Amino acid sequence: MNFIEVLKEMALSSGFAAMTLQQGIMLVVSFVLFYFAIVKKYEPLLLLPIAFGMMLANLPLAGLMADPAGLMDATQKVAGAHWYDDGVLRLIYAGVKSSIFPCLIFMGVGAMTDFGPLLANPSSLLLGAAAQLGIYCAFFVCMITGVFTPQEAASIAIIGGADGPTAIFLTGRLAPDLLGPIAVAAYSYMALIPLIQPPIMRALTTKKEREVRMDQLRKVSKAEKIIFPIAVTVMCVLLLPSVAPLLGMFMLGNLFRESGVTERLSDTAQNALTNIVTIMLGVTVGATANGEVFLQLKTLLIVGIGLVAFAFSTVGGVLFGKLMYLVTGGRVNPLIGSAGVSAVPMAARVSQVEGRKANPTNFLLMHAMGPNVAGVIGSAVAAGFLLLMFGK
Amino acid sequence: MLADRTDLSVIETLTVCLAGIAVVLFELALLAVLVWLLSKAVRAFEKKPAKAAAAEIPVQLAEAAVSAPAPAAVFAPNEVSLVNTDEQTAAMIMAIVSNESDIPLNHLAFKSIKLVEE
Repeated sequence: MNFIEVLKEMALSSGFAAMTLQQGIMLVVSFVLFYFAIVKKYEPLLLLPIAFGMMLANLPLAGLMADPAGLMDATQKVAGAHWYDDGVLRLIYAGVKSSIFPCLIFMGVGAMTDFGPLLANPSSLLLGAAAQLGIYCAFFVCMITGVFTPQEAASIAIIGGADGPTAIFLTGRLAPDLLGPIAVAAYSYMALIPLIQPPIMRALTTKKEREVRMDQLRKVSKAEKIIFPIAVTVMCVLLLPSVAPLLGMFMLGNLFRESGVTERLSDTAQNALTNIVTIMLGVTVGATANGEVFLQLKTLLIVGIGLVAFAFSTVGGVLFGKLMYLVTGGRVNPLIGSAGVSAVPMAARVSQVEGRKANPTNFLLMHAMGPNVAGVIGSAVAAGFLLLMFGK
Repeated sequence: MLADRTDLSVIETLTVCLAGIAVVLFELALLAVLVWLLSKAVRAFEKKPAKAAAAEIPVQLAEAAVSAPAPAAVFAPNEVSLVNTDEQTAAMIMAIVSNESDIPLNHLAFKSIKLVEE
């Protein structure tokens, strides 16, 4: 063997020689996501790890998502392989597959959520429910295309809930093969909410409606804030048991925050734990986006239908807001309805910005936070319903 | 329920959609009623102790004024400037400050209590 042959062998066994066209395209896609995360700052806390996971998974021969032990895919099982022979990202991915990561993220989100505006104005829960309309519109569109199974359609539809952990939770249960495209679509659209929602909000409302100034919210007592997560958990889980993992963890985090006796736990759930889980969730979800799965007609359809879902959720919220405007004799600004699509607090900020454009003295942020956090509960309930219908 | 189905007819799809939005609306409407009832109950429960506390405070204030050791430290309600605040609320605020800071009322001197927002 001479020097040239050694170089030739090295070149042939390198990743460059093994790279497929699909992997090359996926690497470019990951670079585009890096651009969005770093330069455009679109949901960088999640988009950056997702992009990096996508890049790692599409580097040939790295084997970070290999599963020789057949932990998650029995067809890949190699005789004699142990669990620790699996790729490192595949092992971490068990946290997604088992729903541990989405539920822990939900606990962190619960610890960060102030239900005060919702408790001060309980009718905002209805706006949070109406803004789930896009989920069912998207489900219908998915089924009409004839490309997706009902399980896949339900997973795609939940993008309309504008809630990343919920989308990952449901997709992990119903259609794990689509986890990559759905997660990327969900987080991308959440980042694009300031671009998607305003035209719909303006098209569906009159200037007079947008100018409505709402009354100051009443002060909510500590006792109400403590009782709320307990009461909601008991009632919702009794009504729809499949909602327990998400809603239970969400309300546990909120109780840490409001009880006043578990400040350390609340702090950990809000910061350290959420950050750690976000890293692992983002990287492994990104790593599921390998070229073979991602570069299909289905992915394009998911991206398109995801936009339909977001748009119709906004429409549902705003139209219900208009209904409340009529019923209350013009005391509710319909713009707060669009905040019912979860995406806390970005959707509420959009309501605030649009309200201010119509009337510079308007301050809708706190009013929009009610439907916004109600949307989180609404999307969890919608996910629970879809899981009940299509889950095994 | 439909876990084993690989396809749904249009009617079935519409039924799932309508049932889904109905479930979400029903559950959140129920929650809204629960929250409303909860708020009513908590506020009614909290009003009673507040009334009792408000009734006790003038007595405590009077006692504090009588038992104060030095004239400079004596609390005299007339010295407090109340801006858009009634005497009962002011008395409650003073009692809360005293309780939270663990400083007896006769060792505290309030200059003014002002309502900053409605």
